[in-house]
Amino acid sequence: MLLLRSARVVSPPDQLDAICDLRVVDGRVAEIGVDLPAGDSKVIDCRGRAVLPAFVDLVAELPDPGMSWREDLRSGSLAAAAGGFATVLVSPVNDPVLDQGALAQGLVQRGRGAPGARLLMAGALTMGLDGAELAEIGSLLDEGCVAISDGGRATKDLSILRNALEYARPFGAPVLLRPGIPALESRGCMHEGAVSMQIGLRGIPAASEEVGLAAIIALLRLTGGRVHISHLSTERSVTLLSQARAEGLSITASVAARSLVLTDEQVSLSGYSSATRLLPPLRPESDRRALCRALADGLLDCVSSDHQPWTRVEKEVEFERCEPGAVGFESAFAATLTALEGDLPLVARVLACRPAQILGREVGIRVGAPADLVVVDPNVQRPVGPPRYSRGVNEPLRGQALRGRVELTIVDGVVRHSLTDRPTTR
Amino acid sequence: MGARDLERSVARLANEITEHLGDPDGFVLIGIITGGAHLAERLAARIGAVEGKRPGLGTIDITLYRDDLYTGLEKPSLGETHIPFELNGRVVVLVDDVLFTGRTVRAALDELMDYGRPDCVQLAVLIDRGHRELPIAADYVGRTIQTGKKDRVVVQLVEDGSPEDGVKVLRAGRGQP
Amino acid sequence: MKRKDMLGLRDSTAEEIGLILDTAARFRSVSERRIKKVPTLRGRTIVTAFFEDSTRTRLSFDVAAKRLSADTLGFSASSSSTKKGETLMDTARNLDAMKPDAIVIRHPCAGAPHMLAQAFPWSVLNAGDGINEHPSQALLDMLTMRDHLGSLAGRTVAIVGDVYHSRVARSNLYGLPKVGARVLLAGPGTMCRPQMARPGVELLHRVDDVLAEADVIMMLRIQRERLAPGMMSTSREYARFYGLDLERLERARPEVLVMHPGPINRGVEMSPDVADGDRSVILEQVTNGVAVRMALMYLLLGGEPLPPGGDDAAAS
Repeated sequence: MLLLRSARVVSPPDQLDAICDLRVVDGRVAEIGVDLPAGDSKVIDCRGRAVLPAFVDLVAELPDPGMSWREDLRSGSLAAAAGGFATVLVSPVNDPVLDQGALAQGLVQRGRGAPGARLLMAGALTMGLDGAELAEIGSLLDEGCVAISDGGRATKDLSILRNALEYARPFGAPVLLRPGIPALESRGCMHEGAVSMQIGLRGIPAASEEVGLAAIIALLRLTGGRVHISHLSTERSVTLLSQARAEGLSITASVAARSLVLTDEQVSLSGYSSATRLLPPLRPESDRRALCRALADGLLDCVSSDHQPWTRVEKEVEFERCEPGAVGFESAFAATLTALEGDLPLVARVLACRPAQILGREVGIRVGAPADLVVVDPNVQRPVGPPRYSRGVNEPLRGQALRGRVELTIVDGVVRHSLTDRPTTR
Repeated sequence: MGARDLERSVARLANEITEHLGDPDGFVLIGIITGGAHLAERLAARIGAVEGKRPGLGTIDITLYRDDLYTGLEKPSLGETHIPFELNGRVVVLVDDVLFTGRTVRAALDELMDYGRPDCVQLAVLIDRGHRELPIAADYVGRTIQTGKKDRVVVQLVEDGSPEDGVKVLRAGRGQP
Repeated sequence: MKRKDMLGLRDSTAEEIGLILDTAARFRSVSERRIKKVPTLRGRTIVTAFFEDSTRTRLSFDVAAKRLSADTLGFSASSSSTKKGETLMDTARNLDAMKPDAIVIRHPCAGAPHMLAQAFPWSVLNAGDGINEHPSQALLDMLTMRDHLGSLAGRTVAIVGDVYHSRVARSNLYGLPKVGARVLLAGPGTMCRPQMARPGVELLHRVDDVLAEADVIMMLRIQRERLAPGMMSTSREYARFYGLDLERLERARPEVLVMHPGPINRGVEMSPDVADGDRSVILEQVTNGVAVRMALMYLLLGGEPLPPGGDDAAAS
């Protein structure tokens, strides 16, 4: 039994935002009130702290099996819990790719038994994520996968994409897609614009994402079904998304937390640091502001960690040659809180409530609900350090002074991360 | 040392050089940049006035030959080595304002050898302040003065933009090691 | 010069550029002497690490280092273990163990010199990184222009051709406006893009558009292997709009200088009679290259801040 004492409890679905005490018994919220008696409960003093529904991440890579030196399910799960996440949807970028029902069972079980955040599996959309043949979408979902994903590989062949959406529709699970036109991205390694021109790097035009998104929307109109855009990064993409939603299409989207803080200038400022090589790339300031605004306006649904761990071996290479991607679990909350100017109810919505709803999970802080909770200090401001739990080293936010820190993550009523504990794995 | 003393020293140096070396066609003066360059010009002018003709005149910048390049200079700016005559078989008089450790002269000698093979090189200085660190001695000395190792000796010439000619010894401050 | 590295002209100041050019002008005399060598960098080790083929630039740096009496070590990608999967940082750590004082690096990836400069104590000279910068080439261009034009302030330099893929052009685009020159760009739309324009840099189109105003016409090399499909049509079409021939040169200012970073595709960006004609200063560029590289090595390796007082004691 746990008693969180004198916290600001914020839960938008329950219209709750008040300073109160919160008791957790047997994995569920048992009592919410003022001056609750301690009884047998372990009391945690939460003065000056806020309690939110624990975060849910729709976009993260844990390449286990296959490249578990980069991150395995255990280190990834602990890193996620340290970032305040209770639930993570894992992209099917492992090796072998999670494209057959037979591969799913073991992985789904390992994910549920992970020591930090619970890990849910997304199955692959196409065999080997090659974009050529359909994966066993139905079997994957039957064996416990909760979504289908292109693993961040924009699908080259639009007829395959169309068929995949048609095929997936009756199974009802969301299909995660990254919008992009591979031919427009082929040699690029950062956002194409003034900065890429200045520092001599070939660019990826925003048009690649926007053409890709327009194609997905047009196909979705044709096929029906549910699509979640896993990586949205430009202002015009927000416009396309809201138009599609206005006409009733079932489409939602995530933005990476770091994209709310960093811009393409960071590539130059960091001296070509390979940690700033991302896909989609960091965009200019106007896009960054538009993304923050879109979250506040509800046009954009979720913030993801877009966690892609790489070790020194893979990232300590020339910018143009390194793999894109960055770690994200442990800095996502602070990046989001900083970008959204400390608006805790909004943070709860974009990091916890909307992503949970997209996965069809119950979310909120109310008596009887599962106790997935995060305790945060919303006031502390400090520079981002290296990841403590993840095996990845590629943190582009490193050194940025961000606001907010996760202190405690509770999954099903059990403390899975506590700031005061030493990391148990590295 | 005032302007008049300095002029007398220059005159004496010029006399000694011509006494030893004879006809100004038989030797050349090469001033070490920066302090020696203007001094060499003065010597050449003085010799010209007395003898009716001037010796050949050049300058040498020793920056690229210094032995303290990595620790010594704030902004290593280069002067111009200008030797408008063949050095092979010549008698060369190197000219500098102050002879101190001898390292500048060492550098100048090395550089001269890269330009040619003179028959003979001699050294003329306005001031010998002692404290040699290399086995180098001047053939012609305007004046010898006693200094502390940390003192600074500054030769001012109007050509450098100084208000008047003169030599100053700036004594190292008390309490310095 | 108070910097460890020369990575590009983007972050250089007008004063630094002036100092480098002045110093380079002095160094030219060393190459004209009987003994073409000064002991300045004796005992220092300079590694030329070329991860991309370039005989000319490499020779130029090598000669410059030798004329300053530095010891030079050559290292090229074809003879190295990079082909066996060693990363740039692995290679650099090995080089570091040899205690070099400076590394001259050419690399196909933009930012590779910056990566080494951040990680190691030795000086890094960028001899061309990807499509980013090639500062020593731009500096020798500027020295050559200065020889003919005097000050570059108020002068107009046209850069014609594949500006997008040219690190020489990119360095000139940064350097020239800093010393007061005006830059005109001309070339195909795929190679001259609107983002390049900024104060001091104007974007035009055809070579004809720049002829009347240019004091200098710098023709860039077309490197077909760098071009993505669709960036250019035929060589014939290229020459028609963006090539320099004698007929066009006659419409330029009579004293115009024609430059090219070499090697030239005769008949594409330039007709042979122009490349070898009397307005061409291409060989002077080569001579100035050695002097500029000597100046860079000298200024980067040649001195540390003087402790206050006692300049007499230093060498006198």
